[in-house]
Amino acid sequence: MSISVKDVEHVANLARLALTEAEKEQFAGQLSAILKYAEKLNELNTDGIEPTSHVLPLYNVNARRRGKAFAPACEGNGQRAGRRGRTVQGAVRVGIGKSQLTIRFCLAKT
Amino acid sequence: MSLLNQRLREVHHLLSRKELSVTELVDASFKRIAETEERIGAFLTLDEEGARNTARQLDEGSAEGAGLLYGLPVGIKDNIVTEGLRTTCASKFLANYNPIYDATVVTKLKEARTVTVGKLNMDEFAMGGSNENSAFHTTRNPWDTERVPGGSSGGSAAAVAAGQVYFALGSDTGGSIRQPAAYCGVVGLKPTYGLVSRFGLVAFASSLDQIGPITKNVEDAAFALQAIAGHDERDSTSANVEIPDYAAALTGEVKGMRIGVPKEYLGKGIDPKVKERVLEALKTFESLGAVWEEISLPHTEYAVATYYLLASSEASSNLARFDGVRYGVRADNPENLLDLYRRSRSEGFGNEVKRRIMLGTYALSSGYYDAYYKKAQQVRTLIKRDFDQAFEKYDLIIGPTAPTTAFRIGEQVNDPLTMYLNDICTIPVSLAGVPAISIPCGLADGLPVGLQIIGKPFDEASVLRAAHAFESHTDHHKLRPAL
Repeated sequence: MSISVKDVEHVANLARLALTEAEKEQFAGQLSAILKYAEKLNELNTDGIEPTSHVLPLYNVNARRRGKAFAPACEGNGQRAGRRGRTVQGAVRVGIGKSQLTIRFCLAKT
Repeated sequence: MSLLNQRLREVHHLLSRKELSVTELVDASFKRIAETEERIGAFLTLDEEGARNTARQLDEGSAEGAGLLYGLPVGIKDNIVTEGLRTTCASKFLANYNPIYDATVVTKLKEARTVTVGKLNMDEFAMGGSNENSAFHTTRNPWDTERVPGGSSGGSAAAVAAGQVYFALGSDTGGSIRQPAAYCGVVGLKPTYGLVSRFGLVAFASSLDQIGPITKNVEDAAFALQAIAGHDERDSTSANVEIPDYAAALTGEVKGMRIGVPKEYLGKGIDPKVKERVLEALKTFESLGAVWEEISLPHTEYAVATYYLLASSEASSNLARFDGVRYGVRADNPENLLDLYRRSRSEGFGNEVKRRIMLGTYALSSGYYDAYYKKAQQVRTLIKRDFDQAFEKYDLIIGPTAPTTAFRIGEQVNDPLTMYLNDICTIPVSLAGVPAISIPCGLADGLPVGLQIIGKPFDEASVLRAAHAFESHTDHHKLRPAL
């Protein structure tokens, strides 16, 4: 697969990158070489082979834990509000002069 | 001998009896950094004030019940977030990013009462195997400062090899702990995918990323892993498995262990001197009563292509969050929202990151998804089956960590494909999600060679046991670069 500058422009648009003309030329050549190498995979017959997106057996944590919220990203004042229902947690850092203050918040929807 | 090169049990003995203060140990670390950092450049951020404060607090408090890691000066790879301590991922994008929380591994190290000395250099967003992709500077290999330390955790491996910190944390997506450990002559452990929480690790390729320790010897790796392993509710891919006592596994006993040696790891493209060291190591295992046989992992030659399609695809998605709105760089005077996204990303990301975002976006784009992304996921299944089948018969798989020793700075920088092929022995392991360690197995032309020991999923204990047995009967790990 040979990648043209036009292809590069299309992909750069999808990727939200603004490339210089020199970068477009460079990527056209390098991506062509990498994709040509990747065509090696076509030597293998993969009909009926399940794709692996992940090596661990995964399950939906929310479904399994029946409404128990995730552990908060940031611990509040020892509160883990909303063990049932949805919680939104976070923190913001505010700087005033030289001092900094971290404000943590925890919103619960029950 | 520097305190930082002394055995952990000896240092711990002194620290826990307060015959050595944490401050003295931290002083030794900063002294060594002052002596060597100009030549090595392992760090992106040093936190001398924070480290000294922590050391003072530890010295003022009781050392009672102190674990083995108590008081040790450690370095953290700069893609692992540290509250209030700049975390850049070696990217201009995050040049001024001060995280508001600690990664789980950092919290766990704090609980173990280690002292964070600073943040270590890497390839930007962990993309690369040489540290040349850092937006700030290239770390140099302590064994030969004209050469790369490897990557992406090059700063972590170099800092440990140079004796700047007691141990360091790195992250491994396709070999980023093991390859730099091999190039720098230290021990690097990539745990099974899911064993160590990824919460607070800035994502590169989420189905492959894993945090692990880089240490001077296998025993330290066991202790460090013990501290950071375990289930974490904050990481939905964290495995809920029982964590064994890794140090207890270091019995020195490998008699009867069955080792498979993939012929693909010793074939074309492997430096003959590297191969020689690996074969000598296998003789050592033989003399200890283990048995080895040549095996085949037939899909090895497809692993690099598979990896670059999958990892780049995941990266192109993960790095979409760097849009000029939420983090870091924001372009001046944008014309509109799209212009803001495009220009912020183009100014913030370096060349390799852009290249991988482009490759990943292409592989996921309409019309190419099945041909590239899905195909690569199917080949990943075949690669994983190679390992599953081998582990039905063998306890461990052993080979080199990297096909060559550390290459010269600038040697491969304009040839991404050649650079990617350096990962041929580490990438299949990452795709299969199994654990592996790189340990020193001698020198080739004065540069360290890494031996890779690969284990069954969640069987870090056997990997560590074999690595420790080898280390106990050889002196390779005691070699230090003349700095």
